[in-house]
Amino acid sequence: MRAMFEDARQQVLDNKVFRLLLILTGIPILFTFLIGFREDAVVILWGLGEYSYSEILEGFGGVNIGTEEVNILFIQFFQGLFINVFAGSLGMMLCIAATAFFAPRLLEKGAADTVFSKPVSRTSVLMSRYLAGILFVAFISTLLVVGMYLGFLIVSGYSDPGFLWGAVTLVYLFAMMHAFSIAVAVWTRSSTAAILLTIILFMICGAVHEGWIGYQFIKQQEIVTELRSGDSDHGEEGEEEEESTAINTLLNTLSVMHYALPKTSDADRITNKLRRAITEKGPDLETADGDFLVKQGPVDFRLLEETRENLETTGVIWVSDSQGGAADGQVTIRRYERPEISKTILSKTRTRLQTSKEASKDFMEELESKGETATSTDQSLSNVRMLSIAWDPVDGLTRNERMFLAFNDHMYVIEIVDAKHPSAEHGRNSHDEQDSAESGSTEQDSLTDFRKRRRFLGNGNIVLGQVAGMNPEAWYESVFGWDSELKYNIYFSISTSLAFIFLMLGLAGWKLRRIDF
Amino acid sequence: MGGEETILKTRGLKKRFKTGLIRRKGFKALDGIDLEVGRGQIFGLLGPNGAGKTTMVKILLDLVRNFDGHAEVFGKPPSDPTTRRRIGYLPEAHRMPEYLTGWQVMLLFGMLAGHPKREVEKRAAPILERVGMLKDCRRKVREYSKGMQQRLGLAQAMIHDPDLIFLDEPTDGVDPIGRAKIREMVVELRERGSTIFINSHLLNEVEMICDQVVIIHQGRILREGTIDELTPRTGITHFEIRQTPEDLPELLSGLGSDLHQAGHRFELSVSDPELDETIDRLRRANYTITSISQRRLSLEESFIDLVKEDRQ
Repeated sequence: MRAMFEDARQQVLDNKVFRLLLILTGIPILFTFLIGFREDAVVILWGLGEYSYSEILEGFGGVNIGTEEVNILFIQFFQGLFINVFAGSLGMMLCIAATAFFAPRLLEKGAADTVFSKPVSRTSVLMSRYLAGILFVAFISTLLVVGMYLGFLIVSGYSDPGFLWGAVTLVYLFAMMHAFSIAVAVWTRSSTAAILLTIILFMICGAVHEGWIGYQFIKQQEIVTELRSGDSDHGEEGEEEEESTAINTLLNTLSVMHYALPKTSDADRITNKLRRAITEKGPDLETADGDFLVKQGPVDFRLLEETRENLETTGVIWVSDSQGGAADGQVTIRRYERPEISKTILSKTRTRLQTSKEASKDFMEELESKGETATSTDQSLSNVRMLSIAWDPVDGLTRNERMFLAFNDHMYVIEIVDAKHPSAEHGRNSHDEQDSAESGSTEQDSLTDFRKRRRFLGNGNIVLGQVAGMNPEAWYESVFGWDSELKYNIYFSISTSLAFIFLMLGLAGWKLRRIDF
Repeated sequence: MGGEETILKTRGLKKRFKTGLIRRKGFKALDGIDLEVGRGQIFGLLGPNGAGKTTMVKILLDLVRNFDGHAEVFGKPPSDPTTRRRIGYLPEAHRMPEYLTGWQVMLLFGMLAGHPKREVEKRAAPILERVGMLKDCRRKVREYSKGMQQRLGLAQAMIHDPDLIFLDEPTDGVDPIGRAKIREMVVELRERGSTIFINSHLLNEVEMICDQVVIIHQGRILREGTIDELTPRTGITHFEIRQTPEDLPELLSGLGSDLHQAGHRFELSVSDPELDETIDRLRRANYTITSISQRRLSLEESFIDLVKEDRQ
């Protein structure tokens, strides 16, 4: 075994694709060492050039990226770009090409005779070739991930140990493809066939898996539509629509292929889950029924722990980190069971649950009765309709907003109260502090702050049950979990992928034992 | 057949290779081979292309499986991996890993043979020295000439000091000096007690070193025996004399038949009494005889005759 590893090592070191991979691996590492993403600016060559984020974003049409930690956003973007996009696709194909000849070369006439005439079992030679390929990719991906991690740590001062899981993802992904490559190599004894078929499978796996996610998402969207309308009959009608036999066959084939093929696309999602398990604290709020989850409260706000259990009474409350605390700003989320509303039309009485529109209308009337002037806007949260009422109370001290969201059996009420003239000191964001101290607490600043508060409603920070998400990707990300139902379960994904690996290696071993050299 | 201890034995060995998509077609490579080879022999396996020589060796090495009949090496079936600890093999048209140096090849195959690296390192240098590859052993195999690769192949076959060595066309691509060196080594291995099993097309080489020879054709044994048994006398005597006689037909008239003269050499088919008379006549005519030898059928001639006969 040791001899075969040594042989594989020499074979890899002699390989031109490996050298190319090493160079390609060096590029992102170099990038992280040459470009620093500081809190306030991007620094090139350790200070030779410096560009503020607003300057850079100006170049992209002044896009608002909706977060204060722009440097982290940039770093995470490049981490994703290099690991998931380049290494996970292009790099993976190069790794397949660099290792696909491992088995066929060994099985060539003249080479196999010499090796198998020694007292080594065919299975152990095959396994050593497989493991050598895995080690090869483990080396490359560890170099890439650790190199990038150190680069970001040293130059940008950003540490995210969860990022190191990226190396495991790449190895896991490669392990699936390499098993197939080995099987093809043994059956065809051709490097070309092994490379081509493996790359084709890699693409098919991605397409099938993403297609299946899209299909599942559409099915879930039908439920969303039903929830949005608040009328359960709609969903049933949708389900009653007959799909053509051809489409059904296609979708069934897609599902079968999804379950049979390795789940390559899940690799980086699993990593993300593991990564979050290390670097992120638990959500601020999560209902027992799984309907509503808030990952983090608003920026510069903190959760009042004692209110965590008050969702169905006085609400879960976040208050400003500033000196003024709740007086400077407060966000409350509460929910209540949607009351039943009966309506009689043409002597027939129908009963249904209160909608968000009705709840907001009641609240508007209440405000008007108090002499307040409010505006109502139609919004959405994770694709579910939400009615927002905004008003500035007559005392002129705060800016208020209350949102109504009907989801399943509950009405969710999100209320933001923000002081128009908060105290100057903020606890979390240093550059905000400076800005605020320099310019004073103007009303304009307070409006900007108010908008910032609202951002916690976006970017997937709030997850609604199993149907949340603005696209299939985000939706799948939210339902794919360690304790999800079987088809969205991480353990299921891993075990079916491992089963594929064992099946491929088993087929390769079976064939190898029957070859007459 | 052979020495005191039987190293390998086959009985009714048959192998049919199946081809085609549904494995219906195929060809018979071996058709009932009975063979026994003893310790300390140089055993030659001869046959035209496709006779089944390599298949037979590969069965004994467990490289070819699913055969009929019985085969054993060191008293065990070929599938027993422990037998291969005692076997060295130089395949025909072998391909040593070209990304390795000669030295690394020796380490790889020595370790695959089950020996620790340190031990293999000790053994490698003298063997490479013997095959004349020590000074080039740090170069990559891809830089070697065919002859050098062949010598390296031979060295790797000996790295674990095997009791039985299969050499499939060992002198293929090797120059005459290299060939002589390989022959020397083969004889040396026999003297140490190893058994050498040679497949070769170069019949004169086989004739020079083999103790026992088997000729196979179409998967069957045509003839087996020692070189002497396979190369019978032809009845023709070969003479060499110092002078170039111009009156030879007259001088030897009435003696033997089929006189062929080429300069100072001539051949004549004679009986033993006629041989004495031939010598007397030459001496009386003051010719100086430098050599007299009985001409035997060469192994090549014997081989060609046997194969032709079998084809008919």
